[in-house]
Amino acid sequence: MRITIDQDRCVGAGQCVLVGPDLFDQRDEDGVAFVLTDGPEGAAGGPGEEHRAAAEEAARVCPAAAITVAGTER
Amino acid sequence: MPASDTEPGDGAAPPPALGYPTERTCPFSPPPEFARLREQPGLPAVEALEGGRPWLVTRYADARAVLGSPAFSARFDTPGFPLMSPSDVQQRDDRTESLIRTDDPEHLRQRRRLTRDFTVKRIAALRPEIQGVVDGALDELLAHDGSADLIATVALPIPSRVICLLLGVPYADHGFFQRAAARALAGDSSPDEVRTALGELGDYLAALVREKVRDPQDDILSRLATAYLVPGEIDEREMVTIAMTLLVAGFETTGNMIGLGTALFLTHPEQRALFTAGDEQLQRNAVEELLRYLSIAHHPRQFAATEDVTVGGHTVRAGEGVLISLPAVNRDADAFDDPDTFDITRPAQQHLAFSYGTHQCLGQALARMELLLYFRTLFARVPSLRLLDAPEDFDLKQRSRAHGFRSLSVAWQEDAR
Repeated sequence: MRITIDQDRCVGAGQCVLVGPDLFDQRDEDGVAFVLTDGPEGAAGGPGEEHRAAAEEAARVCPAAAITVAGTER
Repeated sequence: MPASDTEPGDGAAPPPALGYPTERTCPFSPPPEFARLREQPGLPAVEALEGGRPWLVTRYADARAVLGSPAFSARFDTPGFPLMSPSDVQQRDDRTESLIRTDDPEHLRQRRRLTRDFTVKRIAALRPEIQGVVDGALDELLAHDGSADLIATVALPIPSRVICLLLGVPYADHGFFQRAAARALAGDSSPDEVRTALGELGDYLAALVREKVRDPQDDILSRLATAYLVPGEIDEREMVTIAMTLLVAGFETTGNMIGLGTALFLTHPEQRALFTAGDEQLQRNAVEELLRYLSIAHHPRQFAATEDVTVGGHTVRAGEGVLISLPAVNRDADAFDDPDTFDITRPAQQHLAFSYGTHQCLGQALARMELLLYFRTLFARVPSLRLLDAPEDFDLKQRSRAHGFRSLSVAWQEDAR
């Protein structure tokens, strides 16, 4: 599973961090979200399927619709 | 091409516009009129003070479509923008440049000056301070003689003290800014009353901002003044508007949620029992359900279409206004099973109480933390808490932009600590 964030769209609401704290964090300087590469995303092939529910929930609640989870229908 | 069945054909008189629904029959639920409108196909037209006859959105999917679309402008000066309150008229006339009334990309550029202070991580780091404020407010409550007004002793003081701490506003001035904000937000204030209240608040914050420039402290207003005001990226008027937005949004909204949420739990003892017995994950979900169920943002989200867009099977034309009732949207059965039931175990994270899209609440992580710590601590420390008034006698704000109590009488057993 590959997770991507369109950082130009991100509004820094932090909803992804709330629902997927193992997958997402926010930049200190402006609150823009990023995918944690020292988390499961750093593993070969990205996070395992056990993280899919959290990733998809994050994509669903993201107010800017900035999160894409590869291999799923949005 | 035939007109859609929700639009009058040529020559047909348009149906009369509705007044925006405000009459509640239940203190915890939106006016029942919204439920009826949600079942109707298309979008109903409602009356505005100025700006034509905006279309009203009451369905969850329609609301997300509008709030997530760049085809809707939040600016007062966009043709067709609907003005719904004296405060809207005053802000339009005075050309107040607030974040909420700005469109992307300018909006996002301005918002990003503020987001760093409200990230999930930053708010989590403030947990001990917020817990200290909650503990202090409950100490004050219990210093009373077995009964008190929850709004004056707890619901307003907690978020006021927290936002003062974060912004660097002296809490000693809370009486002044709480009264001014209440006058500015009341639905029955005239434009002149709103102007006077906002003027006093603005003068107060301008003096405070000058102090932050002279003698910066470790607080948000000092940081913004140093980073943006001093180098000239924003002027004092813009700085004061930012300060006012953060201050007023910081206490009024959470204060309403504390008051209403307490009464809701006390009238639903089985939910309260689940909450007190639950782990923090359940309690966090309970906060989401409180936000969904109570949806205190009574005043509609307001937009004007900048191009023709189809919403809920209805074509909204460029230059027409759209209103969204967040309380109505959060009770849509297509988005939430059994939506009129308060159930802290339901999946509620996708609620729109903080709105949706680029204008979604900046302070949501802070609000969530305040509510979580408040309810956890309240029921642990004051298990005997009870309401003194029956729901039909509740002292609710009338026609305010944000729904809530003016006062709420509560009592507890004196041996509580």
